[in-house]
Amino acid sequence: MPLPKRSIEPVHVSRSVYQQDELQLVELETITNTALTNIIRQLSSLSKHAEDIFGELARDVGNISNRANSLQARIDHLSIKVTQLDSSMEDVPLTDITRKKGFRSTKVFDQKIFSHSTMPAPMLETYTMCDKPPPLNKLNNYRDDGKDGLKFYTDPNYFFELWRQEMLKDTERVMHDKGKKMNRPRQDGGNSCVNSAGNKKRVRKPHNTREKQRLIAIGHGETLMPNNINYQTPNSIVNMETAFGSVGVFESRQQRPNSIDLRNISNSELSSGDYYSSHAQTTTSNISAMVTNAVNQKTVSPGENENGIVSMHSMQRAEHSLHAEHVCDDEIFSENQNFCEQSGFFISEGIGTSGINSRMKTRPSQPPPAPPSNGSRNETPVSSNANTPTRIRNLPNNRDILPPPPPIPEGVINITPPRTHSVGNGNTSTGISLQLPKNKSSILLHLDNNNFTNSNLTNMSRPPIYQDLGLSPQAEHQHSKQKLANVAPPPPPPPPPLSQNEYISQGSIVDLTSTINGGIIKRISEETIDKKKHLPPSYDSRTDLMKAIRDGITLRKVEKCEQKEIERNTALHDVASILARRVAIELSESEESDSDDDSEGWMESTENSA
Amino acid sequence: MSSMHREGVQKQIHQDWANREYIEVITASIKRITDFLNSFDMSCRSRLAVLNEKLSTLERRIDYLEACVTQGETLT
Repeated sequence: MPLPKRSIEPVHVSRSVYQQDELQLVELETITNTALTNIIRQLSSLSKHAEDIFGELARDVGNISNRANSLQARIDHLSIKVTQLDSSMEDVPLTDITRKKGFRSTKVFDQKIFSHSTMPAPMLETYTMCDKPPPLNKLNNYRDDGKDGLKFYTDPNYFFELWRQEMLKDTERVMHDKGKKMNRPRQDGGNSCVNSAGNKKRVRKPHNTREKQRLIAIGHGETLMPNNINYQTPNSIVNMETAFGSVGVFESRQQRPNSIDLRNISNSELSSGDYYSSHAQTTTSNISAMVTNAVNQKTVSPGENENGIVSMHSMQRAEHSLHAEHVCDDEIFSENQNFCEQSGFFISEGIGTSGINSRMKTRPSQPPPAPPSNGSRNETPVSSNANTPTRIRNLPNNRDILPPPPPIPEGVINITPPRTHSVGNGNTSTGISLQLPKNKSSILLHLDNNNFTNSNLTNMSRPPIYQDLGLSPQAEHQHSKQKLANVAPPPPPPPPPLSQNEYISQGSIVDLTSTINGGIIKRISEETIDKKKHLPPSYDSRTDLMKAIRDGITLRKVEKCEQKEIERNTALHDVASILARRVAIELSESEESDSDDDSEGWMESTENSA
Repeated sequence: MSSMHREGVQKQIHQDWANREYIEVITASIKRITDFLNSFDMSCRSRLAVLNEKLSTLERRIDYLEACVTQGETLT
């Protein structure tokens, strides 16, 4: 029932109580006079309401005029300020722009317009005429549920609470749907991970064999993927060798499989995937033969390449370990000893890979090194190929060589790497790989590349057994990783100086390899050096702009968090805040839908590109 | 006598009609005044509401412009 804001009284002008006598005498005149008096009352009431109306209007108009005047004054000030502005005179620092708060108006929207407080005065008068509700709140002491008894009789906020709960439910539902949608993007993110793999694919695309390997790995099953990747790389090597055989770098490589076939049956078996079965059948006689061959080859091997290589590796070691100085001197005379250590080391590897020693399991731990190898694959396919195949081919050798003497302790690994270096390229790779876990993946890549070049050199000059023995960089790398992880290694050298030292070492390696093997190795090493050179600037290139932008972003985020907390504490009892939150959620929802579209577009593009 | 009484009654009735007409005029004018006041109130309130809205937007714009122009100090 709508209540009139203003009612003029009396309504029935001519109605009145008359006495019979009066009516008989001056009946009509009395009625007329009564009506006239009531009319005058109406007029008085009307004048009162009119005064009220005009008073309200005058008040509103006064408020508006005040606002208009203040606004006019502000506009004048602003116009003066704007006319006085000179962009050429004022330098606006970039930090001020980034640190400026987002503008937020202090104006508050009117809300709860129809509440008791905003009731107009004439209505309030009629309202006060009503009887007050019974004082049911006095019975609250006797209530067990803690509810307000008066709320059962009258509750002015009932409908607002109803609306508020409904709106909050809506917002929660929207948030929930949003969360579902967020899950979808997560799934998309998983796809995007696949896409990132696709990106890797795309990067690898020059190597067709990689994709083949990958498909084959997928065909084997997802669980086997990492192992398969490690194992299939050798196959890819063969393909790569055939593909890049014309390059000349692989000429030595092309000879390798033959050498492997000749000397290590297990290698071919391993490449074919039957390594484990054959590995079990390998006898000590084979191992001893391998050892003797290796020793003979070391003794026979020309000192030039070895010395050069050893010196290179020794340089690297000197940077990474304190024993490097002894390396150069101890190279030749410690060969046998080193070989023994090497053999022992390989035995430990073989054990780890074969699964005899559960602690040394290299297989499960192999996936981590894969990403750097991928990077190396991307940049220098040769090195990646060299790393993976050698590793796999070396594993059988290592296993075959020795029945398990206990795996060489970490001290040997950490301390003797230079010696093993001197023994063979493969050992050098091991030494480097030992250092790798301490360093970054990028460094690891370069080291692998260097090892690869070294291995190439040795392959050129040396009989293949060395290669087989030496080149298992990743396996040993993982090996060393495990050892390092298990036992506290001697204090690792701080990474940054290592990188610089590696720079130097790479330079020396480049020189030596260039003298030995020609320009291709030099080119590879240069690529690695360039790669390294490119890496540090990413950190150094923090200009003031970037810094300012980052600072500004962080500041804004903090403010947002504070604002959100404040809103959570104060809001939700406010119509404007509830509506604003809902609108914000809806807007964010629409934006997310747009972003989803974008991501889908990205996915499609990546898929197409892949 | 009867004619005299009849004339007196007619006269009273005429007078009553005149009074009633007068009262009707007054009430009608009061209604007109009320209508005018209502319409005036409504029109004024609507116009004031429009003006208030415009003022609000202008104030928001001025706030934004001041925030854009000023650096720290307040204009008003």
